[in-house]
This record gives sequence, C-alpha cells and structure tokens, in this order.
Amino acid sequence: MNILELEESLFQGKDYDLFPDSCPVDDELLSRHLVPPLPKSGKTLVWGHALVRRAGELGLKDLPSVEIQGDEMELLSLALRLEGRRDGFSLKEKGEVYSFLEKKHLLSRSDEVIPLIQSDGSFLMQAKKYLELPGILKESVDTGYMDLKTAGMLTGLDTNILKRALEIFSSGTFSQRRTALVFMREISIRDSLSSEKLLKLLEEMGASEDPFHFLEALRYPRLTEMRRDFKNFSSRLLEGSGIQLTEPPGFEGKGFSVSFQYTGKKQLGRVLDTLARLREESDELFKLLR
Amino acid sequence: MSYSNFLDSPFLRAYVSSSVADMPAVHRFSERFPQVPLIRVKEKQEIDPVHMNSKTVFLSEPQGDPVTRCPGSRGHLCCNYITVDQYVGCTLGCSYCIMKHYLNFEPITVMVDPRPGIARIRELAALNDDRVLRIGTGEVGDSLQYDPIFRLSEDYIQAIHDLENVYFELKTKTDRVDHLLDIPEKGKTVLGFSLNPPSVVQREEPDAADLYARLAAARRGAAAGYLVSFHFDPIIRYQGWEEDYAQVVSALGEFDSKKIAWISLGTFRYPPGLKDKMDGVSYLYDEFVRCRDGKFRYIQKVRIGMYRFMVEQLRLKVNAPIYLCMESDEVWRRVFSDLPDNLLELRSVFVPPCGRL
Repeated sequence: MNILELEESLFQGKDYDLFPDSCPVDDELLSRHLVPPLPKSGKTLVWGHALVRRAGELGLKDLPSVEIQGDEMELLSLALRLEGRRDGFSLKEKGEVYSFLEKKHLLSRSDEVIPLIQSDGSFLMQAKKYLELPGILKESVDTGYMDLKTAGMLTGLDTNILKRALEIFSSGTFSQRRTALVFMREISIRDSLSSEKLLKLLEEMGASEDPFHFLEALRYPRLTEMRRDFKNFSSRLLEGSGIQLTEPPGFEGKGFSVSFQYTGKKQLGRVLDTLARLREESDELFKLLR
Repeated sequence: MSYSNFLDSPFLRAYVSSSVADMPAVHRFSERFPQVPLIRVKEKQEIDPVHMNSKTVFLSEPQGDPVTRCPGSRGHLCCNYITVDQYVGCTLGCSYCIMKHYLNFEPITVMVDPRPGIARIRELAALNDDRVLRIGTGEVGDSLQYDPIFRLSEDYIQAIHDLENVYFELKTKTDRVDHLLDIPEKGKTVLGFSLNPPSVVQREEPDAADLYARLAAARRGAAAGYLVSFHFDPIIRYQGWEEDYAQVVSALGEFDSKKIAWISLGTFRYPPGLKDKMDGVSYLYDEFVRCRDGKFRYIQKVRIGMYRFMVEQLRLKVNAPIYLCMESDEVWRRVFSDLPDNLLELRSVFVPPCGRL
C-alpha cells in the first residue's frame, strides 16, 4: 500500500472527479485514516476526490492509496464500484459519467458501466437530455423542482421567461408546477407567442389571484367556460335541494346523472318540484353536450 | 414532386422471405431496381438490426389471417370495414400518424403473395352473398404508395372483379393511380383519397401528394371507370379551417355523384402515447378530452359542430353516402339525427359481415 500526499493529489489528474459531493466516510473515521485505500493510476486519482478534499479540510496530510493499472474504462468501472451506489446516482452525476464517456470516446463501451449505475435500462439517453438543458433548468432538476421530462419540454424557452415562470409557480405542489409549466409552453406553441408576449402573459398571471387557475382557463378556455356554466346552472337550480347533478367526464356523452336521497314524502315532493324545474330548463344544460 | 413513377428505388435494400422469393411481385421489384440488393431470409428476425428502418423493404408472406375486421374503437361505432394488410408501413411522414414514429425502427413490409388474401375475400364474398362487403388495403399503410412497383392491387382487382358484393378500396394520399387505369375489368374497385386543405397537406403531410394532384388522380380514376371515395380524416381545427375545408369540398362538386362510393369524416384524435411523439405540433394544443376508447378527441360539442359543417357543405356539392369514422352514437345522432343502421343510404355501408374474421 502507498501513501497519497493530499496536497499534491488535489491538483493532479482530475478526470475521475465525477462525484464531488460523495464522501462516504464520516469525519471521525477519516481522521483515523480508516478509509479504503484510494486508487490512483500514476498521478491520476481514480476515486475518492471528495474524501481527499474533506481530509484536507480536516488537516490530514496523507491517506492510504494503491496503484492501479488499467485502461480508462476499467478505471471508471472501478470508481463506480467503489461508489457502490447503483440506482442511487443523481442526474447530475449520470451527466458527469456521460460527459466522461463522450470526452474519452468510450460511449461505444458504455455497456461495461451501465449496470454499475442502474439495475434496469440505460442511463445514457436520460443523461444526454440532462446535459442538453440550459443551466436554469439543470438547477431546477437538481433541486427536485421539476422532472427531467418537463425540463426537456421547456428547453427552447427564453431564460427570462423560465426565471419568471419558476418564480410564479414556486408556491404550488410539484404536480401543479409541472402542469402549469406544461400548459404555459403549450399555450405559447398554440398561439405562436413571441418571448415578449409570453413574458407579458406571465406578468398578468403573476398579478392574478390564482395563477394556476388563470393558466388553466387560458389553456382550456372552452372547457373552463362549460364547467363554469354547468356549476352556475347547478347552483342556481339545485342549491339546497339535496339533488346532485353530475356531468359526463369532459362533457363527452349522452346525458347528465341526477342523484338524491329522500327521508319522507314531504321532502320527496320538494325534490320532485325541483326536478320539474330542471326538466323545464334542461335545454340550457344540454347545450353543453350538443 | 412527381408521384407517377419511381425513378429511383425508395429502398436501399430488400429482404425477401424464402417462401415467397419467386412471387411475381418480387420479380417486378428486382426487374425495376436491379441495383437494390435482395437478401433472402427465412424469417424477419434475420434482418440485420441496423437495417431495421424504412429504407429497407421486407417482402413477406401474409402473417396470420390476411383479411381481418377493422378493430374499431371501444364505445364508438365501427363501419364494419374489412382490412387486408397488403403494405404495412408508410413513409409519407404525416404529423398525426403513429406509424411514422414506429417505422423508424421497422422496415416497410409488403405481403407479396396476394393469393391467400384473394382466396379469403372470395370465401367471405360467398358467405355474405346477401350483403355488401367493404374491403380495403389502406389500414396499416398507404394502398398505392409503393403499388406502382409491386402491382399487387392489380392482382387483387383482376382476381375479384367479378364479385358483385365486394367493394375493394385502395386508400391513398398519393396520386399513383396510373398503373391501374388500363385494367380492363375493374369490378367494384374504389380508389379512395384522403383529403385535407392545401395548407394542412403542406404542414402536416409533407411527403404526400398535394391536394390538387390527388384530386387529379381521382378524376383520372373515375374517367377510367373506377368508383372513387373521399376521406376527410383527420379533420384538423385551426383558425380559418371552415373556409379551407369548404374549398376542398367545393372541388368535389366536379365529380359525378354516382361515381362516389362514399365519403368519410373523422376529426383529429390521438391515443395518449402519441402526444409525446407529436410534441410541438400546434394543433395538438387545442382542447381535447379523453373518450371512452381512451383516445383524445375535440370536445363533443365542438366535434358535432365540425361534422355538421362538413356534412352541410358536402350536401351542397355531392349526393353520396357520408359516414363518420369512429364516432360515438351521441355524435351520430346529433349530426345525422339517427344511427347508421337506421339511415337508408348507410345501411349497406355499415352492415356487419358474417363468417369468421
């Protein structure tokens, strides 16, 4: 076993510094040099960069190390095995591995490392999509603010628009935010909005009481109006009657359903009176379907 | 772009299943394109994976029953159409077509032995001698895109022209009809043309023939003695769609209605999986709702309005059976005031065939 001089190792051969935040040993063990020997190939540290950095911060001068022979792919495989985090790598880390493979012209040999990163399928496409994101979206994915698929859809949007949209929708749940961002993009495509117009729309949205509702009404204007008309009709005619009127999903179908309970003759009489009014005014209701 | 003739092969290579290597359609292909390598295989699995794309053609025997019933769509009325899988796959690149995406990893498949299909049609025709059968090859590929090369439609037409109760439809977005014009006995063959306004064709059907070329081909077909049909499917809604579609309908006025077998209408619809594949296509961001078959369609009220408009326009110009493709009974009732079974002009179009299918 060799000794790795920390000061020297921090500045040399950083190709394999792929997981800068991954320090698998706590400070106490590190202070006692209780770490696996760090593999190095010549002057290149193959694994343990975060560990070395932390050791430096703790004032350690050296750590155990071992000299390793192998080609770049073998060294990467070793680094991944030492990480021991299959299915636990972040998109950012997968992106680092992808970039490494690309830079070293090793993508054709990616099969050798894929199983060390995830147990099912390949991470390459995912990593590539991540790397293609602009910085602001990468950050959003890294922090769990949005998923990669949504981020991918938003890639073509102007950075100012993305910034403003992320601010406006920061208050919602992950799912609300996702829906809102998708709607925003769909509206911009549907209406061929320029960046200026989209930004203006976002400002209106931000100023509204409920930006999510505002956006939904803009994305689905007709359905929103139909739902509102139905709700108004129901409450005008049936509020307090105990009658439940239900529309077919998406206003797709033949008719509406009515349900009620009754506890006595008198109440049933009131229900029937209300139903008679419903019958008289049904034309208005059926306009929603035809 | 001329669709009348292929100067160059649309394929870089051909694989042929050994069992059909001597079929006339295979010889027609290799005589026309001797430079295209023809590789014999026992089965499709032997095709080199790097050749699994639409620049490859796989000349095959029919897989399973060559004649099947259109699968229809749950909760929607089916017109009981019978399909023959003749050409599987298409490279016309229509934005709304799911095959376009799947075909990136599949060769175009041509069932080069028409005999099983012909025998089955004759069998079905005999079993259904009290009703009309509508049979077509345009369900999983364009009937005529590659037909001038393989001339399989000709084999079918010649073999079934005597069947009084069989309408044999060749559905296309091309204008490739000229190889069929001189066939002496045409029977009840129908040349079917999918139509859309020029702006839609240009944007969404990039490699198909333009509208006027299709209409000219329909004219040539009708003049040669064929019946013709027109399919407005998908009808796409956009700013000004009514005017554009009305103009297309107007062009149908020049056809003798007796020559028009039928006209179908279907608004744009998509299965959920297609949305991601069509990402960025502007008409995808209209308002759609999930229907009983899981597909997304325009809001029912909107669809009814679109169909009413189309039917009104068509009624002004032609007197031919008009039907809706994959629509709910509610929409049928609101557009035609009744279901197809009760509409005299459509009763024969919609009658279900008997016999195993």
